[in-house]
Amino acid sequence: MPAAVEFRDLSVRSPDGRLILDGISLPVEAGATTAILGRSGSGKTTLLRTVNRMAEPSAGQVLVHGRDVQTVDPVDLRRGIGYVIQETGLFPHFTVERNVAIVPEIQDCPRAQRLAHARELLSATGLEPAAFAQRYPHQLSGGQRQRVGLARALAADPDLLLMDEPFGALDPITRAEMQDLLRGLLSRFKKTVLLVTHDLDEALFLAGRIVLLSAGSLVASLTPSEFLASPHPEVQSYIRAFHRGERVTAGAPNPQEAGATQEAGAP
Amino acid sequence: MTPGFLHQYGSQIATLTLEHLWLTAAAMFLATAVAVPAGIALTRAPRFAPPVLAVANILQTIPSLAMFGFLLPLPWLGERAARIAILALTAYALLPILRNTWAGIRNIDPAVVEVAHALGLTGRQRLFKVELPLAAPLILAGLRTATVTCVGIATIAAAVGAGGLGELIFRGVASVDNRLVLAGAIPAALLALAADLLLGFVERRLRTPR
Repeated sequence: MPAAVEFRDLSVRSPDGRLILDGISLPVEAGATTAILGRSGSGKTTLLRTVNRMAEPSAGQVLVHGRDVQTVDPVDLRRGIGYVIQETGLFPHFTVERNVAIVPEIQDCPRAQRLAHARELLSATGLEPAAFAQRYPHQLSGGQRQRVGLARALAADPDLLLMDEPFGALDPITRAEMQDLLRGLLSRFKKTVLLVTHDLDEALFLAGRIVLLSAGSLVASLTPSEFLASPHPEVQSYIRAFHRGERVTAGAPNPQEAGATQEAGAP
Repeated sequence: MTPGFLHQYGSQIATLTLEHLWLTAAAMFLATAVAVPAGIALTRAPRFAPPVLAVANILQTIPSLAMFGFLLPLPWLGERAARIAILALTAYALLPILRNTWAGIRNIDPAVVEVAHALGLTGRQRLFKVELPLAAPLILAGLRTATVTCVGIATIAAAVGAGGLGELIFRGVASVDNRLVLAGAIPAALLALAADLLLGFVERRLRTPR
């Protein structure tokens, strides 16, 4: 399969000149899910945002379906890419069905057609349209809102989905349900997915490839089984940190547990 | 107030009330037409916001009688008192509308604006589908403040001969006739109250559930 997305020696600097991503080169396989793992501040969200030009490279290129995104109009580019973020992204003044159908709406798709499609997608994401289509986001639970977010990302039928910690704000049980749902949806609709997460289990469950970033650099790009068996010290340290239940998002190791880790980490 | 008084002044009160309404409505129309687009523009070029808001603020602090006086000698404007009155009232209405439009858009959850970008809404779509609807309650609150202020200040317009209910008040004061003062003040107060209630109602209807 050709790469759906390709990062070529990509670097991104923050407005104050700090290097957020440092020379990332990585092809992303079409039709598969690639998880981008990393601690907070590793640059994983920025990497995702370069794909739909929400972040601009300071050097290097991002190709989507073989075209340098810098040569594509951002509005057209974004309409062709599904986007899901943590919980907060629904428009509070739109009903559920209008939220789902917003991308077809801004492309002037006829109202009846786009709302009918929105209702199909609500069913597909496990929300009964008769009960939910007319509600407002504030009337939904966190998990229900995230289902709406997923339905919205699928509404324009994009080949490519960008997901930034989509289930990060959910409780563990709801998160597991959503992961099941997403896996089911992805086996039904073939999509290329870039999934940013810090949850190793989520990456293992959903992704065919796991990419680990650390401090803006690419550490590894491996299949899940290769990832678990990798001798790379940074991969090992991430896996250990995750399984110890450390809050990997916090970044700093917990001094009280540091001793115990070394013993538990030995094979 | 006796029936005789109302008989004598009734039609005059009605005419002046309409005049008062016209001055206020014309000023509100002009102020909205200037301040809402200006407020939107400030959110697009935030570095201009402090100086522009400061100018609107200064306009607001000019005593109304002085403002009418300043405008009197101007060519074209000075020819008709109503023109002066409408321009002065417009100046007073600018700040609340401008400030609330600016703040209403700035206060929108950044995640919502971010998603609007990421989904591929154009600037215009973002403005009309997301930003203005979400800012509408605050913009309406600005219109409401401005309208009530204008109804009050419009009574001073009579000082430069622009008419309105202030005429009865000034005449009453000059002739020490409290009935005339009240004949101007009561309808003016009622107008302000009615405008406040009506716009308050619209504002509550526009408030988005969250």
